[in-house]
Amino acid sequence: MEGEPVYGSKPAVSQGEVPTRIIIAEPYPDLQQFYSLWLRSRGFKDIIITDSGKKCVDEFYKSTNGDKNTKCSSNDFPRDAVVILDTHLEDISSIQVAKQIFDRNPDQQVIFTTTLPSDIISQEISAAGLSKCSVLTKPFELSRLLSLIHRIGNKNSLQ
Amino acid sequence: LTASNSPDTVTGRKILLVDDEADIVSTFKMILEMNNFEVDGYTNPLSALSNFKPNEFGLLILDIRMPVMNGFELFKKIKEIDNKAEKV
Repeated sequence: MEGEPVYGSKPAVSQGEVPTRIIIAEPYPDLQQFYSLWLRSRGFKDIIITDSGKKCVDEFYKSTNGDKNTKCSSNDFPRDAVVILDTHLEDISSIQVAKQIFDRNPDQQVIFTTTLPSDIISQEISAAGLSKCSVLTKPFELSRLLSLIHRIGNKNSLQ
Repeated sequence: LTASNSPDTVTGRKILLVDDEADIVSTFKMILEMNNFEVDGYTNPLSALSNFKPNEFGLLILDIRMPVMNGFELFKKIKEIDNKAEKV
């Protein structure tokens, strides 16, 4: 499509359905809508978008077949789940959200999106003792986020 | 971001959207069309420029960081075609 106008509402690239479950915490409604339309146009169908950290944790726990007080086995986790956390959540910090998610599933991969310098977030991640996290500084190319999602999804499904 | 009219008069006129990322163009286009705007989207600023006609668009949305020609350079060229275009 290089050089040609993009006509109609059909996405520029359409792909088959992608099984990866994506859980997003993003406070800005316009970005929520953007993520939803973009990811669907990229073939993702299992998308949960929340506007707060608490809702994100709740959705993650729901998707792992249990509540916060119930122990679960590794079989309960969606193998190819990807969690995307914006760092400007209003209720609880994204680091706290990630901690609660890791409490439930230490193998969960989390992507932080931020307008802050990435080294600040990376330091917070290290200080919190979190692993398996990636940081994308806004503005980022969608292709970078997409390749991270695919990489994480593929890695998890091979575990 | 440029417009030959103020943004509140964009309704009923087309929007020119230029971004080198195809997914940005297609997704923004979807959102704008859902809001009843007509959109011409381009991933190549040179193609956008060669197809640009004065008075066709009510609003131009230009990415700044693009290869070949950045958004500021593109706006400068558009200004040569349509001197009513203004930054907002």
